[in-house]
Amino acid sequence: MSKPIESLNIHQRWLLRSIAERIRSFPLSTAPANRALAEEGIRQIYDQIGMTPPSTIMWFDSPIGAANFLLKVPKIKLGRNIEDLIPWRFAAWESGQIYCHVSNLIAAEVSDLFQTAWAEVTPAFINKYIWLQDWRFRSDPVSFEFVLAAAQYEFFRNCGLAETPSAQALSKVVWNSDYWWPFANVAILVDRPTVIRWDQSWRLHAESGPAVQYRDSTCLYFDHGRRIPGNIAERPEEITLERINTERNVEIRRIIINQYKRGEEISGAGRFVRDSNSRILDHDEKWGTLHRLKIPDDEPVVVLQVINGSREPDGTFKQYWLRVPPDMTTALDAVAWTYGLTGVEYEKIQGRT
Amino acid sequence: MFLKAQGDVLIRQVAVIPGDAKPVERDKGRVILAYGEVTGHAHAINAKLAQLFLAPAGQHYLLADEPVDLVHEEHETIRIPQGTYEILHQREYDPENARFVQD
Repeated sequence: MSKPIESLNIHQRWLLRSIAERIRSFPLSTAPANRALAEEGIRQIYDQIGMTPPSTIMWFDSPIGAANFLLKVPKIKLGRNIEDLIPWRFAAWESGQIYCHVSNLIAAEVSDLFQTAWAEVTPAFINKYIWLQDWRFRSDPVSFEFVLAAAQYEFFRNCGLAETPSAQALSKVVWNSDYWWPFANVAILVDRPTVIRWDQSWRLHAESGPAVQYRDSTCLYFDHGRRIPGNIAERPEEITLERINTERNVEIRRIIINQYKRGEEISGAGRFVRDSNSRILDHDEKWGTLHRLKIPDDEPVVVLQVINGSREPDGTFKQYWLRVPPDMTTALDAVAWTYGLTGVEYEKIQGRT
Repeated sequence: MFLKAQGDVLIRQVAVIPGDAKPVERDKGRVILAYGEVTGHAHAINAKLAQLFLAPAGQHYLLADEPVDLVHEEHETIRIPQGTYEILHQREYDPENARFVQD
């Protein structure tokens, strides 16, 4: 065996970064699945673990379609889930054949960079995945840890260090599909969505319309990572003060308070309090005005009204209505809380623009 | 001790940047403290001698090796003296989970 690589050249560094980017874009990709390549990968995986490739490879345009199928189909037709037979799962694979080609330092650097990229986009992946649990799956879709394995494989292969057929097969499936479930007789794969939107914290989110739309037109709606019912998201104009005040279900009421006047400059809880008969808890020229609104069977909504530090082009000052914890009693403590500080710390502020 | 806010971003002077914080790459040559999700505006520093860091728990830190200007399309510029700073992002209370304000 050749001597382990001690440092990466410019090309290898570039490659490392481009694969980290690929990991980042993975859960948010809307590129159509390359079905032929993914199927080739599936057949190779079964071959390598000594199993006959599945007689049927089924594609679904959305995980909901796949979920409905999995719930209905008799288990005997699917055969057992063979995921645990795939021997190159991330941990085993990582410590395996590839890493003997590079120094520990390089191995750590590669692993660290890829895991950081993955950690960044994890909220989007979790959002996309977690709702599947609504369907009470008999098994979870594969892909979570395999993405990292596929990334490392891509990197080391492109560095000319290793050509391992098993990792190659895995990589084909991972990069060319979204969710997949390998059963003994049937492999189930899901194509990517056509629309996917997210916020700054990589949580699924859309100001209007669906945050995720699949090829079969199934839509999923999210507000900063929280799933919201489609009828509420699609018809925000139906969320009126009366609708909120007559809603008895606390969970639904919280959602519609957050969705109230969505898309307008002041929206959500702040707007709801502004438009209702709230009580002023505290007012301070320097720190703002604290409003409180009692809600039946739920905690009160407490909102801080602050004025922007900088003037708008038309000479006015923009106002912000920020929801704060219900136990806040002074505007100073409330504004300090919004930055994660105490009132004592925040009152030393030297300027706000 | 320096403590100033520019819209939804607060800059607080700290003694040191934690050793496990990692440098964050520049975006088109600029150090971006926060992006505006709705407007596309950003809290940005153009100076060469500024570096943003990200700690494992998610906090951002700024190292300014010279006085730098923090600019934003809708807010007046803030001059930050040479030093080390923690960047605090404004958040809003949510009964289920706290979320950040993005202007």
